[in-house]
Amino acid sequence: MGEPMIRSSMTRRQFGARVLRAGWWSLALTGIAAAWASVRFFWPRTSYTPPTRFLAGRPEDYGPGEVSLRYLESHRVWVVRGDGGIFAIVARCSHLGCRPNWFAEERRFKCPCHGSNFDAEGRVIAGPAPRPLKRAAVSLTPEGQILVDSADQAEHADAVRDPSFLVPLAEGPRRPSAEAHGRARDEGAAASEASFSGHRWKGDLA
Amino acid sequence: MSGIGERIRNGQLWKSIFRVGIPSDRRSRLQVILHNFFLHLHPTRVARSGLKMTYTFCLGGISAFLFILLTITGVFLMFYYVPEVGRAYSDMKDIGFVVPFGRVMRALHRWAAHGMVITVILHMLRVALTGSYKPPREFNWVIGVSLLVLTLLLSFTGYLLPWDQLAFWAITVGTNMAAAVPVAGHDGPFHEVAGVAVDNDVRYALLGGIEVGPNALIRFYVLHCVALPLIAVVLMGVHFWRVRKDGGISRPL
Repeated sequence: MGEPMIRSSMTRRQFGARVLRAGWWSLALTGIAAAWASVRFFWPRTSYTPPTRFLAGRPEDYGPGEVSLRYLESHRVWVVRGDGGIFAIVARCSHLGCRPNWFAEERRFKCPCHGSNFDAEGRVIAGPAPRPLKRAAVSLTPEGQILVDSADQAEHADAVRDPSFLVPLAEGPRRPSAEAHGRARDEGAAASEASFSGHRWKGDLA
Repeated sequence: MSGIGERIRNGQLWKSIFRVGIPSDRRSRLQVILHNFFLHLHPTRVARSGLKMTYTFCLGGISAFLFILLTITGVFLMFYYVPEVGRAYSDMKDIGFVVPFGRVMRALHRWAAHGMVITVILHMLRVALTGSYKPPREFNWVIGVSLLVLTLLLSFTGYLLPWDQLAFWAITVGTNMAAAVPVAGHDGPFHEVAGVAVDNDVRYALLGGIEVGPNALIRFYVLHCVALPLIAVVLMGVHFWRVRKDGGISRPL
């Protein structure tokens, strides 16, 4: 007997140390993975907010100088018909991010938080706001509907020089009463919006 | 009568709870402190000069007292308040108008919260002015600063819970400040470097979304009622324990 059957270059003690080292390493890696998971946990993959791209009716639905609040609750933008055409202002004060209110009689946006005032173009009139209100990209679909992309935002100064932030008004006679049309097209717009975005927001504020 | 008291104090039940009898000398008085869970965080002996009110003004003690008061009144409020967008505001109003003593409970919580912010800041000021942060207490100063930050975070998270206009816009503004943090906030400098955008920055994690909404309410609620108080309790335990280990309450030299 005497001679062992299997020879190994590793002693029992060395083998034990290696197992122990592997154990500590796997424990450490598990700890790192757990720490990563605990942090990652707080960034959900989906937020149930409305789609940022949405249809906002036809250009002729907006009367001259109209500041529409129709997409304010759902998408946080005002769709405005200015002299040059239709554009979308992001309803987020450039000061600290509150949502200003539109005062039609004074033709001003006023922020309730710190009193900044903006004109209908979103330019600062008063208050602590450092910059004009941002704009959201707008375009015209082949069907003639206004497509707003509130994720594509630009500072006022850049937006006024960028054609993707303005839908120019078509040539030709205006319809006599834009407001009457506005009411009539409400349902149609909502339906087309639903089909365009695939789903509507859970809260369905619009 | 004294016979009954004597028998109770000598009985097994009493002795199983209170291991040290009525303190009669220096040693047993010391043991009472050492053998009681609640008292043992406190130093076993306090120097006469340590009792001088005008030195510490008991600001740390008042802060701790207010924290306990806030915990108790907060638990009471939790029996009625539901952190759900449709209910939060009306629950808060119900606590004020429908629940017996509800308004007292909420007022206590509110005033104690204001008070704690004040006393914690004054406590820090006192410690700075008396030089009580010096070795060996340097690390306890660091823990104290963490507790100050926790106090402010507890105030901030509690601010959203009434879900009124003030709460909503205050949290909007507050979390927008988080968005201005360098690298980690989508409005901050260098955010492009880390690929940080509105839907993956710190503000998103804080709100659970891109706007203050239902997710933000439940997040702030859990932070306010569970996560932050737990961290605060642990740090307060260490804070007090270190005061004891570093030679008791700081006092005039």
